[in-house]
Amino acid sequence: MLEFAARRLLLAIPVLFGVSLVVFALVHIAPGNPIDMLLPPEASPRVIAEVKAAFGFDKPLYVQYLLWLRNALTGSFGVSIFNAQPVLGQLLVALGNTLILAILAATLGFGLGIGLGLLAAAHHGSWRDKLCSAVATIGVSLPNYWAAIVLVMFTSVLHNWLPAQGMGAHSLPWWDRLQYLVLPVITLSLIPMGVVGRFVRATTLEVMGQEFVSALAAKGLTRRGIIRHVCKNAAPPVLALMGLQFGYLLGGSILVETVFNWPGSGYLLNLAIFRRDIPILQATIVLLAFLFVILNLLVDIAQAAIDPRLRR
Amino acid sequence: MLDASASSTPSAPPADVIATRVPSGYWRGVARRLARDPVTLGVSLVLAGIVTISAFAPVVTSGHPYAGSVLHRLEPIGTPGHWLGTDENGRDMWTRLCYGGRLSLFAGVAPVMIALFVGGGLGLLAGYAGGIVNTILMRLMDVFYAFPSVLLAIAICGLLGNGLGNAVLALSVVFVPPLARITETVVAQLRRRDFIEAARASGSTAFQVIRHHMLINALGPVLVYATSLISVSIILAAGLSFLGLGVTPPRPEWGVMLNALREAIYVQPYVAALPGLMIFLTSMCFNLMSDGLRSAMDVRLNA
Repeated sequence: MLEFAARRLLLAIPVLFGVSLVVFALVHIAPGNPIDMLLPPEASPRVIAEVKAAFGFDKPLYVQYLLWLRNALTGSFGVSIFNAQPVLGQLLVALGNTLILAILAATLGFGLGIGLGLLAAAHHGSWRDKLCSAVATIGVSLPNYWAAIVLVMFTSVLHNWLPAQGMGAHSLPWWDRLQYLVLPVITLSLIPMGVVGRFVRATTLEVMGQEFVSALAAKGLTRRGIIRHVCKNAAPPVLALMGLQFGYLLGGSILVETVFNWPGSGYLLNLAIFRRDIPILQATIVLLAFLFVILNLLVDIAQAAIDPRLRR
Repeated sequence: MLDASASSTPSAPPADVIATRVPSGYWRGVARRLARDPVTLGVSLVLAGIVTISAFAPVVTSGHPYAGSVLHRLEPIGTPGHWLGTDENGRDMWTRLCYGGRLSLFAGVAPVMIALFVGGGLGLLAGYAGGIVNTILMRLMDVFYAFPSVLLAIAICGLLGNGLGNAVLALSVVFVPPLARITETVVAQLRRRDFIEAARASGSTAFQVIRHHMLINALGPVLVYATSLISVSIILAAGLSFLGLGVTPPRPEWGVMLNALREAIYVQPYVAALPGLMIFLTSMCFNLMSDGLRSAMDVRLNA
């Protein structure tokens, strides 16, 4: 088991290296010079050269890459071009805000999804199955940025139930700020609910169709005992999917955060794109991808812990 | 008892045996199962409807998608002359939704098509060649897998600048790795099958094996998967435009329209929800279509 974990960890290193290279290349293939955004068009060549040197844009590309990589590995991502504040501080605050949403949305979405999937599988072919499957399919097909707008429409425009924007002022007591979470969390939970629901149904049905289940029933095991065996066999792939979905919640909440003006990492990324704030952009993408790789690693190890057959 | 020996003499087989011997291919069975599936049929009809109103937008609408009047801004659904109301610039919603379907469908379907060729090709190569080629290609795909798909699409599109072309490019890059991986898995499984072994043993070249045996057998699972990706792609493509990264105003596109009408939810909430409803409907149709194809083709996928 330890050997398996160590091997997976080693395999993740070249991937992370590749990720940093892709992000760096992407940023430098991009048209538009970040310096042009900072300076007035009539800036003298001397000023341009000074600003370039200050941000390290005057060095050859591979030197820039190595410098950036070295700094990133030591946790220093430079300063924002837009507001000259350290990138890491802004990024960590934003990431914390995203994490709040992601954890709550994952809890809600996975819980509902597992419930829907198991209910559908248990009543395979009946109206309950069709209803649960329909709900899950709607969850998968909803553009969540639209779902966000529709939710706002119902709860904030047609009725004045919930706040539609932001996190609430810091001066408010925490229980008053909870209501700001409701709409973003519900919106974000829709896709995980649908994806997990559909997958749990399919996986459970597949496991229940296998011969060992009939064998267990034939030897007289109770229904509860059979369910335990089925769940244990269906768990690893479902776990893997939930890991991926959690990663998508962390890295893909940009649309929903934009609709709700939620100051998370997606919102920060969106601002950085429009401001051409390269240091923030690079750091956000790399950190989110890094988290995604780590998450997948943890899921792989957890899967192997449950199912010894996967420890190859 | 005596009859038994009599019947052993060769004679015409009974009629029902002949009926079952009519060659009925795999694809014919798929078509028969699809024809009996009301959900998939219904969904195909809706999808055909959406494609038709988009393709024949000039025929089914009377106005111009850019023509608007400030005097008729944000009129409700059911207004005479504008049965779906008007947008924030007084342009007819029905006209813009029809024309919008052209760009939205294109931006959703094209990336999956491109990725199907590129990713399918790479997966075929990796799965068939195996060994070092497989390792290099699939590890390369792993790097792109390390990005959450929405993040990668937004990063590429955000950095390259907005525009339909960049949005299609960004989404194509996003969909190449999953299609390469699924094709690689299917092909690698096929490669171990006896009939492939037999074809190779009897002297078929790699090209012949791929062309006559691999493609036709790998096509089903890969197509089912690609159809479900179109559903994601439609949502993401409109999402990019919604963020201001894909198609830009005033061109009619569902994501652009949804974003432009965001402020209007306080005035005409139902009109403002229409473009998103179209995205939802189209995405849902592709999802259900993929489900229908999957069960008709009896494909088992864990992707």
